[in-house]
Amino acid sequence: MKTLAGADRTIERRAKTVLGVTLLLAVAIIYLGIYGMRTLNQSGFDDAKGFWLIYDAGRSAERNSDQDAELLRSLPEDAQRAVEAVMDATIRALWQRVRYAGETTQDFARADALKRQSFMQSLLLGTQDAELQRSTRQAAEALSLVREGMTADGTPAFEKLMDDVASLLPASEAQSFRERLADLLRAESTAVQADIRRRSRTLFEEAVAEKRLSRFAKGGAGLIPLAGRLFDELHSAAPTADISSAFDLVKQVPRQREAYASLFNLPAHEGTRRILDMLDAEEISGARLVAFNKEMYALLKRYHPDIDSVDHLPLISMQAEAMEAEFGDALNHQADLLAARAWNDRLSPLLREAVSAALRSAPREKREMLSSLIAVIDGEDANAREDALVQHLIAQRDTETAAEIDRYLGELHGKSALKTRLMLLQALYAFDAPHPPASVQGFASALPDAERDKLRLDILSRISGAHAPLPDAVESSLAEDRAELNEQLFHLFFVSRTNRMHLFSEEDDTGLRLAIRQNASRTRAAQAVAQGGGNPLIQIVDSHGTTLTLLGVLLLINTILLFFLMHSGRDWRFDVKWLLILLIVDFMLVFQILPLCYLLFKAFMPGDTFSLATFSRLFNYNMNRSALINTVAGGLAAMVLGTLIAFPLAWMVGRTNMYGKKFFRHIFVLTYMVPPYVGAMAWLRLLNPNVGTINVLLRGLFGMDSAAGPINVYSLGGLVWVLTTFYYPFAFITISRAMEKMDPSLEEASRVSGASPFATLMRVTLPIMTPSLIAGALLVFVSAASCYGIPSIIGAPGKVHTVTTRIIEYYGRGTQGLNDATGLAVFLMALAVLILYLSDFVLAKKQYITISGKSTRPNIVDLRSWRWPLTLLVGLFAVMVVLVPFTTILTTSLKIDVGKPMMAEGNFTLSQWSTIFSRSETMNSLKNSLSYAGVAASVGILVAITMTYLMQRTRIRGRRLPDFLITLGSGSPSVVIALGLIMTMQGRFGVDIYNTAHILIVAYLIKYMMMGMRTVTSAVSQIHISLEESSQVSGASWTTTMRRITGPLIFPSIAAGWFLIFIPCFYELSMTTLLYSNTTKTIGFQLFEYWTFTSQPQACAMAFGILLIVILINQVFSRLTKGEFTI
Amino acid sequence: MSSVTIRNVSKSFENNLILSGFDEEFKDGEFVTLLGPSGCGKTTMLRMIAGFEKPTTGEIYFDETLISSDKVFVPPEKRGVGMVFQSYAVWPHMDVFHNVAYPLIIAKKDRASIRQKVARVLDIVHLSQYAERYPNQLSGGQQQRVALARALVAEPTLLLLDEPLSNLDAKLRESMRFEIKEIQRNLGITVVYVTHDQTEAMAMSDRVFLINRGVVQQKGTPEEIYRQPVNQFVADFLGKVDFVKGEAGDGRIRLRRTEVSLPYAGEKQGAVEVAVRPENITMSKEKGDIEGTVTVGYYLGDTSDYRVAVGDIALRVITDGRLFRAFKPGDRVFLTLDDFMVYDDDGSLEEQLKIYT
Repeated sequence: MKTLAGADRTIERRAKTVLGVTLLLAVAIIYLGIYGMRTLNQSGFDDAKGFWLIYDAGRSAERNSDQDAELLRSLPEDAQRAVEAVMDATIRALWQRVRYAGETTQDFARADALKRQSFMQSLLLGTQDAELQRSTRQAAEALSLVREGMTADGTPAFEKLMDDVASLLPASEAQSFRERLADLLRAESTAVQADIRRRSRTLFEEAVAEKRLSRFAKGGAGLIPLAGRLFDELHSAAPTADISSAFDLVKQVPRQREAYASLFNLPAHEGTRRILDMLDAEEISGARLVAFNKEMYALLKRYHPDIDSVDHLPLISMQAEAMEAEFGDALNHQADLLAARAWNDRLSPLLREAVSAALRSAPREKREMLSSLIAVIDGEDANAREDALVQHLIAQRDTETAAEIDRYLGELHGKSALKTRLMLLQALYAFDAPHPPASVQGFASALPDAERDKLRLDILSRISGAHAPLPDAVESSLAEDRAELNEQLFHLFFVSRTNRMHLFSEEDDTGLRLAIRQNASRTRAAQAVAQGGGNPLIQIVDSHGTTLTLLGVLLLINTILLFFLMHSGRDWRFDVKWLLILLIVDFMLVFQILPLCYLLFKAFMPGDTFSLATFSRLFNYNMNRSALINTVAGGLAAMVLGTLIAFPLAWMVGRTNMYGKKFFRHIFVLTYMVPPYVGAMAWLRLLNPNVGTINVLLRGLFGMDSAAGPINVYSLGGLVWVLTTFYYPFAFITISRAMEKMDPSLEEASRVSGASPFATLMRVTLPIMTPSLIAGALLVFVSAASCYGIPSIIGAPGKVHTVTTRIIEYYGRGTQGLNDATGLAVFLMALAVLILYLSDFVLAKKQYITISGKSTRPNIVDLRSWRWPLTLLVGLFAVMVVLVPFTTILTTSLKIDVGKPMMAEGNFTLSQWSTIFSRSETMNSLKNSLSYAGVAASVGILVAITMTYLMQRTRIRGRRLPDFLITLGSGSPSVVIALGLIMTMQGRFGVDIYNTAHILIVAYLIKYMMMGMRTVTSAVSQIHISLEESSQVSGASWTTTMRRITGPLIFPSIAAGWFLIFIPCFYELSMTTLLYSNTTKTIGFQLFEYWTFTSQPQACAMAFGILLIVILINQVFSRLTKGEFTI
Repeated sequence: MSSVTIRNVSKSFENNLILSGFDEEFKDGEFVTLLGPSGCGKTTMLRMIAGFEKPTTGEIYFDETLISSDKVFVPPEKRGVGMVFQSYAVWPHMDVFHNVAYPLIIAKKDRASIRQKVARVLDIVHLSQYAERYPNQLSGGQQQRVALARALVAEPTLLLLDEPLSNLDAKLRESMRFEIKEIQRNLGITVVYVTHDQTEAMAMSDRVFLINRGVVQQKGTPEEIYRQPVNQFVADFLGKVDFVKGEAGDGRIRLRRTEVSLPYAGEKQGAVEVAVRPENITMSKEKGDIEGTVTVGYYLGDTSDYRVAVGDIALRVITDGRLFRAFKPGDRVFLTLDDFMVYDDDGSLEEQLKIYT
């Protein structure tokens, strides 16, 4: 009898077998992937595409060479031998050429330092002689150090070398040299300083002439301190100097000249000083300030009796600060170099002495280095010395290669030898092809097939040495030189078969050449082609190693997950829905977990070994420390302030009889869907210390006659204020929702127990609301701390940096910058994870909000005589945080000069609007934004529906896993997500979507998918399953039920979810800033660029346009869902 | 000592009249129930007594003190009443002890007396061993008793109960009824109890106020309103009743659509509505006033429930459960109406029985 238990055991056995097979398959795929990666790694090919092409070429060469070999065999025996001999000679020649193409000593002499280094490296690698390799390497390192002038940390080259050389000497001698070095360093210090000062003057003069920075407002701001310093120098050297020429220039600097007009009539000295003190980042014309600084410096030279005694080094660092990152770094590097060179000059006699001493006793492999050093100190050019080393290496390798080729050809025997030779020849041609002239090509292609065969036979006999006449058209263009002639003939022989200029398809030809740039690899590639293509599996493995590994790992993880899912179910039954879960989990694993882990890995292991260097460097650097403090302090302040604003607002709007409650709720929630940077722009125009509308108003009101203040938005305070006005709605919404849900009888019970309304608020309402209050506050904190838009607009000009702005700034600075960015990102991520943990796992358990059975009408507190005053107060707040900023954006977009009132004469214009509408770049970016946001929202809502179905309508195991991952994703700061994606999605892990629209959409999905999911899930949780069941009981099929019951019920929330994903994606900035490419700019990024580099009014016009679109969408959507949902 | 006097109180929300002309006095130590279908205004009345709603017109006095009128409004916290809510409203962030002690803490009583009073009241509601628990660790019945203890702890003379038992299961509901009644009797306080459950009202109350559509339909002891309902609505709401149309005259009432007539000594003439409670009919195989045929019978244990066809109408008859075997569908039986009520048939029945919510 077959029992139930028996059937269960069968299922279990079957399930385990399938899982086991899948596991093995996964391991096999991973093995193949790793094998492919290693092959690629060893090949020296630039990318995996090379493999694909090699195998393709191999297969096509194999097909062709069958024909060719047949033709060749039809020749008489001795002619055949002769052709084969020529073939070998040609192979030798081409092989050598392919291998050394461009690698002559002359080329080396002409190359720049970086190329020389890598070239030397590859030569050294290819050398068999270990001793030669070692000695040459040491010599090359020493020479390159001499050429550089200093080490990476700024130690002068000769000082470093002195140390190296000393270590070759006997202990006592070394000791004495080290002491002498120390003495020298002490004794010469002052003299060297003077030397550096003299030299730095030239460097500074060059730097002042540097105009590149004038384009950027930021760079201009950096010039202000320099101007101040130059002014001070001049003033102390010559208090009475005539600086009117410079004064004329400084008058031109402020863009908003009205604010400074009163200073223009002062005496030159005083006026200059005052203007310089008042200048602020927003208001300067960088180019004019450069001109002013040049003039000041010219004056300084004229009036300063001893210009050399001015210490130029601080000036250089000021100038460097003012320049953009890359130029600034270069300038600082040059300054360091000055110092190093000054020392090198003084250290050379001592070094020479030490080297000579060492040369007597040094081991052989050090000799080359030491004698090179002596030669250089004695005046030989370091480059020339290096050239000599390279010449020697190339000569050495020539002989090695010749032996290698002979060995290879010697090993070819038997029937396949001929074919292999032909294939190898073809492959070598593909890498370095001497094309026959076009006329020959034309001639050959015009021939009918039969005659072409005859031509090819003729070519072969000609190669064999017979004087077979070729057609005139061919003959006339052939070379005189015998070797060259043979090369041409072979090529003609090959191409006349296919009647093409190229041996393989043209793309393959160039593709091969591009993919395999390294000469040494090219010869290996040619060999691989000659082995004939290999099988398709190898082709896939070699060219998709990383992708295969990734897939294998995913399969492995999925199998393990499935095992646990099935195991915990005990009955081992497979559920198809798991595939859905695994699909979502896989997506999140690749695009969310992998980047995060890699980020962590990179932060703690910057050079593949564990090190906290990144962090110590970060936290020891002032600007970063202050960025960290600003982020935390700014976030906390915005959190406290935002919650303090949000709680009373939520209470008044929800629980009192204040007037216009609905309207106010709408207004406050509206802020939620406005891009934060728009608010930042508005507040900038309002609170700019010089021309900000509010500042001008306040100065007028209180009769202040200063030109700036009283409020400066470019400060931590300003940042906090703008962050607060944009993030308090987060707390407002959370708190309002909790207040609505709270059972009013909880408060009534307190009242009836004798507590006054206030006591009730403090003892009952507030404590019960605390978890929601904290959740709202934490949300404000984490959003404010990970915000990029606002600090980049408000903070950067005032040098108030935050972690996000630092990350994005670092990102633009090469490897070191990327390391630093990861360190900061890890900090931000840790902060976010902590908050996420607190609010989702600790607080959620403490949520008291009980939904009572009765429909609850909240207790409305009668404000009585306070009704009007409080309404006015709330109204005032609404005007301040919503109306004024948005109006400012609108009016600014209608101005020509942002500093003047809109209605001032000749200042009103619609041209800003027509400009943005007529520019293709804005329209393109709008199109991009709409389509990316649309795709993200559509995919996101599909995931949301799937997840909702799994979470609400099934009890399938493992359904919480994707939910957890999605929550983690949306809790991660945007900048961190983007940084992680950049670092992992460039093909390193088998996915290459960098610079495409895909990477943006993926980032948007990770960040905003949850918004849609939560909306749909909560809507469906309200629909009791019995509604669907009663439909099914009434005889409706599943699809009918979906169409007629569930669909209509959840449609509004699906629409809501879609829009909730769409809107933030539409105007996204922080992630886009890192992930955009030239063809995938979005409207948010475009706006940011306009604001920073082009025109503030135009940026405002765009901002207002975005605002209109968002409001329009909200309206459509509110209509669509019959008012059930608004954002 | 506390009585509640309600003078002509009306309440409307916006243009919706919820309660009109409520004019009653609840005597000291009395257990009064406001009974009625949902939406009838009973809870609104209770909330006006508690001070959560303000009457649109009218006055409310506690003893001689005016606590609510056009000009005077004493807020809930100053009224010194105890109240239990339908949702219990036990504060989730405090343990049982602090929930119960809250009114005393607010009143700034000293700690020793708080501890002593809370202990006493927890003892009354049988929750002494749960003092340190939090509400989410308690069952519904226990939470309900916490709410009751909290309402009692300050020793109010007036206790308001807003459907306190409606969220409990049937068994617990029944035992709680008696517990509440017991507590009230022991403490001698005035209780105003709101419910839509007529058995609850009957079991506990000294007086019942039956309200419908904002108007008190009838007040009186449970027995009065059960035995002598003033109108069809009252008759229908309390207990089971069948309405039969008839013609009164000549000392008899002829039931329409039947051949049957009943002896009638009352003074009503013409079209009338006869209200018969099924338990007031005696059924016999031998003799009775009316002849009929059993159409269906249900065995309910303590009783048996029959439908008996009389002419074209059907009457419901409830007999002792032990008699179930005696009557089978199809049996001819004789019915005797031991008691019935007669109302004028003014065509308002349908309207009266319609319940607005």
